[in-house]
Amino acid sequence: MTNSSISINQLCFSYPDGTTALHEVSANICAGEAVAIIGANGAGKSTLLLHLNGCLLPANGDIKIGAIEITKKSLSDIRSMVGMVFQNPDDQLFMPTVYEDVAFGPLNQGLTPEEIKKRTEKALLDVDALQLQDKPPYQLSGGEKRRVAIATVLSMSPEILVLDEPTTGLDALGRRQLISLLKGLNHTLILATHDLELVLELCNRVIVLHQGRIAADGPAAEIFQNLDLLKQTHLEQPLSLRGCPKCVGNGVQS
Amino acid sequence: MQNIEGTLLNFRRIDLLASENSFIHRIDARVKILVTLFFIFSVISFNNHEISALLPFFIFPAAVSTLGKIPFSYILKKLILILPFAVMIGIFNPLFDRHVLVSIGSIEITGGWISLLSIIIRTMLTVSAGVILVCVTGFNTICQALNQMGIPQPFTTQLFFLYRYIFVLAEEVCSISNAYRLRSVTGRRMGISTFTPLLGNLLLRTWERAERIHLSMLSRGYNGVFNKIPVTPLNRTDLKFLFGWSFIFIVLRFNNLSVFLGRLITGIVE
Amino acid sequence: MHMSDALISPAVGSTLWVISAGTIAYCSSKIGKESDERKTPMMGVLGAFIFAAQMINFSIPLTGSSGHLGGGLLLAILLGPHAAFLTISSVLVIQALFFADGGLIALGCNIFNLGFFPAFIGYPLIYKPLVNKKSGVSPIVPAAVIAAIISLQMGAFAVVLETVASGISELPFTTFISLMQPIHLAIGLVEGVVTAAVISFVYKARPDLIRTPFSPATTSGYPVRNIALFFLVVTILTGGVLSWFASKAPDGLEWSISKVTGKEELKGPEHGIYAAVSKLQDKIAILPDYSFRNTDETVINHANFTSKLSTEEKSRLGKSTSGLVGGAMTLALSMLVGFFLRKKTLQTSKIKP
Repeated sequence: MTNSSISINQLCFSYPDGTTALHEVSANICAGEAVAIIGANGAGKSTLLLHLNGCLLPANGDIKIGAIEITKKSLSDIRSMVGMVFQNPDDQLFMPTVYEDVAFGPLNQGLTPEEIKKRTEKALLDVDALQLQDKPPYQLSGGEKRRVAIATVLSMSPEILVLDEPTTGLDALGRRQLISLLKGLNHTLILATHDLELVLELCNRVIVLHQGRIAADGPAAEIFQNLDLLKQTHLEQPLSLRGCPKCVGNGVQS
Repeated sequence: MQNIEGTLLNFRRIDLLASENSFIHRIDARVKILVTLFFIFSVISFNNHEISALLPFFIFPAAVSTLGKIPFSYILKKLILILPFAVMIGIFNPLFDRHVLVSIGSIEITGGWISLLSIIIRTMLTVSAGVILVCVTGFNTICQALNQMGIPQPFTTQLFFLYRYIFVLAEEVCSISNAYRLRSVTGRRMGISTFTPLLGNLLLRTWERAERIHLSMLSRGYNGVFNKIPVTPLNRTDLKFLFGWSFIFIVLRFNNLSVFLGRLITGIVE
Repeated sequence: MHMSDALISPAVGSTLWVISAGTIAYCSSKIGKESDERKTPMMGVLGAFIFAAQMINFSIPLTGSSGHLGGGLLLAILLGPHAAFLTISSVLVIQALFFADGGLIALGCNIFNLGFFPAFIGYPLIYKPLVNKKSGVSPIVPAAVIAAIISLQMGAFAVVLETVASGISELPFTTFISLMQPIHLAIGLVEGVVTAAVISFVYKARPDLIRTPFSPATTSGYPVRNIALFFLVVTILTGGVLSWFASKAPDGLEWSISKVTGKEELKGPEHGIYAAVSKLQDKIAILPDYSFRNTDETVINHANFTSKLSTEEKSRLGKSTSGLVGGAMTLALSMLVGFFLRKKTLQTSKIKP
């Protein structure tokens, strides 16, 4: 992996109906970091993520991936560098078979057939889904769909992986498999999630969004001990950080 | 509600049958499509009082379904579903055509009944051919073949998407109708005033889903063009299948095999 | 309305296949050139939507029966004619292959009958001109109803023509028409109402989805809708039921002519243009003198035609059918006239500041 950092400067965005989604959001993310973006529903997490690969373009401010600013012209370059995994895997798996879905990205990158085959098979191997390659998406389980969705993005060899709510709807096993998979990757990781335990396992840095603004940006350990901050931003402490119920009374920090 | 679960099961069943590996499955899809169309064309080209010459045509569906491991009961079920519709139109034939064509002893059979029987036989032949085609080929392969045969890409690509998302949409309709059933105390069918917001919401969600799919396509470098599927050459087996069956259909079309066999047997007996 | 292979002849099947395939090619090239590349996933997913929506039955008020959405007009409103035609065609392909709903050779006919009319006639020629924000009038319900009715009438008529031209079914043209057209009139009415309702619903939430903008404020309880519906009911009554009892007495003009000259209808000169024109009119008019022409000469098998219907009943059937068909045609014509007049008024009002 090369070292493409992400630099977000004073990003502002409003929806067509006028609601402000993001207001003067700024952050710098170094290559190789694993950052979690957390916040209540409607805080702007998904909107921010959609800016990272140019699905949405800023109304004000700018975003640079490495040295390249995200504009209409640089979209195809950006999308080779930033791989986005959407919330709903069904939206991501639109080809007749798993293999064709994973090969879709490399095909659009204009690679040779041999290279496409190599990348597709490697990506499937990385997510432990090689045996599923000929299956149509509707035959897959929730966990399998998620893994294949990640493979569809891995096959493009991006430097940065952006995932929107990756553990939603997964059972314990599926979730565990996903966490091991993500731990094994050395891409720059950006996760929007409600799953705070996942954050503790994977991410060293947390950005808290509240009503379109950054409320906090720092090490996970610090943020999760700041109970006032968590309360203000309508969040709760991860379960594993709360004290033993017996020692701390009823155990729920209000 | 129509049987949504049944519809989904039907799709899955056909997918399963199509994923088998048999001699027929390995024949090129383009050949299978052409042979099926030629078969149907030959069947419907007979005049409307023909019966005996049609019967030998059953060889084709019988052979292909057996070699293709398609259960006879499955084809029969499909025929039973479709025949009433054919009879519904065909039943007018005996009413309007009273011209006596055949007398067996004292029983006079009018042209109308003969043409009705002909319609029934045609239906059985054409429907079974269509069912068998999709069961030994699979929908996605058929779409690829259509593209290779010259059907424009916007249409075939769109067919792929349609098929892919039928499962998703059908499941959504399933849950909507369950939700309705659980909350409609009277148990009656919904009226237009309930149907409208129900369908409207489904349409909005579907549209938003399509927008998200498009976003995810863009995120993976989609630039409006799908790569054309390369045209694979036909091999000897494919060609033999194509020309062999075509020859058989032509022979059967212009020679009444039933009558021929009948004469042969009665000739031997005498 | 899906035709099966058993009832069509190779000639009819191939002709319609060529027409449908050509239209698919034409629409595909239009889509290919479009800059909005959302189209491809949109068409496929909406096709799946229509397929799924057709499985939801609702009860039709005032009858006991149930109906479902056809969706042709709805697709045309959402996607435009070319994309809608492709989408409808693809749904029909799925239905034919997986459910034997319509034959494979008959697919050409079905694509034409069910796709062409809503996409290229119902939507662009009827619905779109009638729903016009600029004029301040937004009669979405009558627009959708009329568009749906005419599309379905034309589709049903096409089915009849194709079946009769194939010659497999012995059902005579007259009986077939008298069955198909009224049924599809009712179906068209329901289709139009439901389409309008769903479009209104969608428009309130996402106006950007609807290509022909209209102001939703006037969509409910607008008097034009009532007028159009009343007009329709009257047409049906007049055309259908009343003409059943219409006497065979020579009507108005002919009566006066006969009184004056002592013979019914002046006979034109034998030669010249008049003769040629009247010969042509004789050939074209499928409803000569308000009853059906004897179709015996066209089908050899009817040599020993013995109908259960007496001559009296045959003429009554012919009359009421003619009445219905004539009524529908008059309605269509008046809509077209109205459309042209409206266009003219808009143009003249554009000139004036």
